[in-house]
Amino acid sequence: MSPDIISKKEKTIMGRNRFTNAVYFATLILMLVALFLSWQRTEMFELERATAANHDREVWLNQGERNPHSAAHFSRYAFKPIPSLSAFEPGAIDYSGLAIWMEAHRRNPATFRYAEGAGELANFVSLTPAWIMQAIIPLVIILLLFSSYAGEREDGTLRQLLSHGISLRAISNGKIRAALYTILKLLLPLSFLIFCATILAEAGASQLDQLLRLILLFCVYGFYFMIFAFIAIGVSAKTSNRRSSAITLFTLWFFFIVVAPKLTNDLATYTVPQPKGFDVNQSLSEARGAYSKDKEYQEEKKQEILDQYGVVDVNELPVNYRGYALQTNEEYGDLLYDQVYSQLGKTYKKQENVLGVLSVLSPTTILKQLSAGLAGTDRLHHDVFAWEAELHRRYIIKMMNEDLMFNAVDGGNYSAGKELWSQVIDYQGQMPSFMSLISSYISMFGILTLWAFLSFLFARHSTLKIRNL
Amino acid sequence: MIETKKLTKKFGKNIALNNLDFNVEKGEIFCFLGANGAGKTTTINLLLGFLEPTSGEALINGLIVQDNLEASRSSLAYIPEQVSLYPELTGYENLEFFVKLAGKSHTSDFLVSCLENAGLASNFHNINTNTYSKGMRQKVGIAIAIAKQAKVLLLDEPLSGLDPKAANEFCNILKKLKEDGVAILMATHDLFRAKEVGDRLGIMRGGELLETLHVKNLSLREIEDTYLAHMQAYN
Repeated sequence: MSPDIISKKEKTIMGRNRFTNAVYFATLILMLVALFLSWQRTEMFELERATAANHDREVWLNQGERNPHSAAHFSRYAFKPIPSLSAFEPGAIDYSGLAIWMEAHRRNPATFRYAEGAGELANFVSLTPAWIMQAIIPLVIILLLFSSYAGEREDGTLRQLLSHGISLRAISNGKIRAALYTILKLLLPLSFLIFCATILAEAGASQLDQLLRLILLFCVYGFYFMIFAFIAIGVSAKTSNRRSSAITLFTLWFFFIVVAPKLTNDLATYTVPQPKGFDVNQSLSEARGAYSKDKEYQEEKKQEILDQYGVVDVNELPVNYRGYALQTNEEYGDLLYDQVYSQLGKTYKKQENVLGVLSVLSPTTILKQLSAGLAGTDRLHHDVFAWEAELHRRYIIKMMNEDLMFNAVDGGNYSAGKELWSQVIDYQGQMPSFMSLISSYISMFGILTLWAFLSFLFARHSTLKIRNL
Repeated sequence: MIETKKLTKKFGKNIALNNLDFNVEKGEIFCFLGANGAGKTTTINLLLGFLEPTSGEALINGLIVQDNLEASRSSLAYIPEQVSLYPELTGYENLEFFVKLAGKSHTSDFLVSCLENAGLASNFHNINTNTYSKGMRQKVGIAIAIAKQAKVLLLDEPLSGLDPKAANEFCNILKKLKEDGVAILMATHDLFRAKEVGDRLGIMRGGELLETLHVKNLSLREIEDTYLAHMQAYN
């Protein structure tokens, strides 16, 4: 009963506080502006993507008659599906690239990185809804709760409350309930706005998957806000006045939001150094040229097809040997490319593991990873796109090489035309479902839950062990 | 109703209260007189359970405070020098809040009558308490005690800073509460008001209760002389 009464009083006071209301509405307006800007940006991306994809298709279909291997070099682009939740959380999308050029002999990394063209401004934080949720809302929660106990202590109302026989547990329960109400009051309208923006920016992904991602985002941010609410209540209970409470909490906010994420990133890249661009390009270049150097393999593959058709010379083959050799060249290179990219992926994974361990320094570190994962804008989702694009590249090149192999049997200047080009289906990658990747995020959910639990224990302990009245 | 047995409180090496023995009966007003640091507020804090005694016992309504914090507090009302109220709530809402917390359920008419009995003008009932004077805040404190039907009232310097009219009104309310059987302990510097409302006066100095006077048999001058004699002996 008492916690209900205390919680109701807290809500009434918060509702009447002009400052609280101003902060609340300012946050909503800021979120609206951020959503509008992000939605416009996503729309622009989607429009550019659709335009570029159509253009790419037109150019491919109308390239005229030419040798299929030449067409394989001319080739096509795979455009990354833009997750509708990228309007909420751009994650790594600005840095990971939006398209991959699928050409013969080369497994290219993604290009068209928004960050490359954004200039110096990209070094500053963009006003995205996710940034508001990650940085601003915790600040709002601190502003709303820093005086929760410290204010009552300073004003003498805590003594007044206790003098009526109210237990510290009842006061703690009431305060925590009021804090949860505050979080819901912030989270519900913001989630509704994000939901609307996601629906507006719908990019053909599975509705069920989108819904699951939204629900999990809601839960993850709910937990994140709770962490800050519990820390705010705990610190407020431990400090003697509003000023001390506010200074302590703002310092913590600055460390959690500004310092720790940068520090953990730097520590992760220091512990697991990023492969140098030059080295990666060198490895890719070596993979590209390896086939021509491996005469033994070439001879082995040559013997394989000669045996298959029971002939002793390539000129006796009923197929075009050049087309066959080009395909074996591709397959040889594919294995090497897989090794280079797998090594690169392992390095990133190691860095993320270090980040996971370092997230003991700040809940924001782990939240950022989870948020981008749920929005489909993190490295893992990009890797799925890159792999699908690679499989599509292999499909196109194989089709071109096999056309050459089976149709250019007389040798000479063989050319294919629109009939072949139109058989190549467009890359139509879909964002992977979250359930298919969930195992990669389980530990992150665990760490965030641990943060929430420990911060709750801190709040509970601080509010039940009040000594300085 | 209010009782202490060999109650002692030390802060490090400093003895704030030393073997205090006293009691306040139902329908009695006991006033603690003493200079700053005499141990008056420490006694009240020990009776409220805000401090833990180094030794001895503080009892409210027969319950040892430290062992029965919530139960002992539920039967008392506490009015400090500055009554702490929530500034965003009206006087009526503050009253309603604290009374509900005390587990009492009253009609709004009853709560209004409590405010009126405490002397708070009706046009102030529904105004936020951030506009209230000290006297008005104390009236809300008294209204809470009335509505809570507190059997014990602990007052810590409630008269300091009140103008004579407000102090007089306050004392009249205390007399009424006394007639209703409330045991009242008041710490004060004001000998005149202590003589006016108190049944007994306890003169404190350096954490010790030096003498207890029965007001009925003494004039104000006699009380003052006794008090000053104790203070001068100390100096």
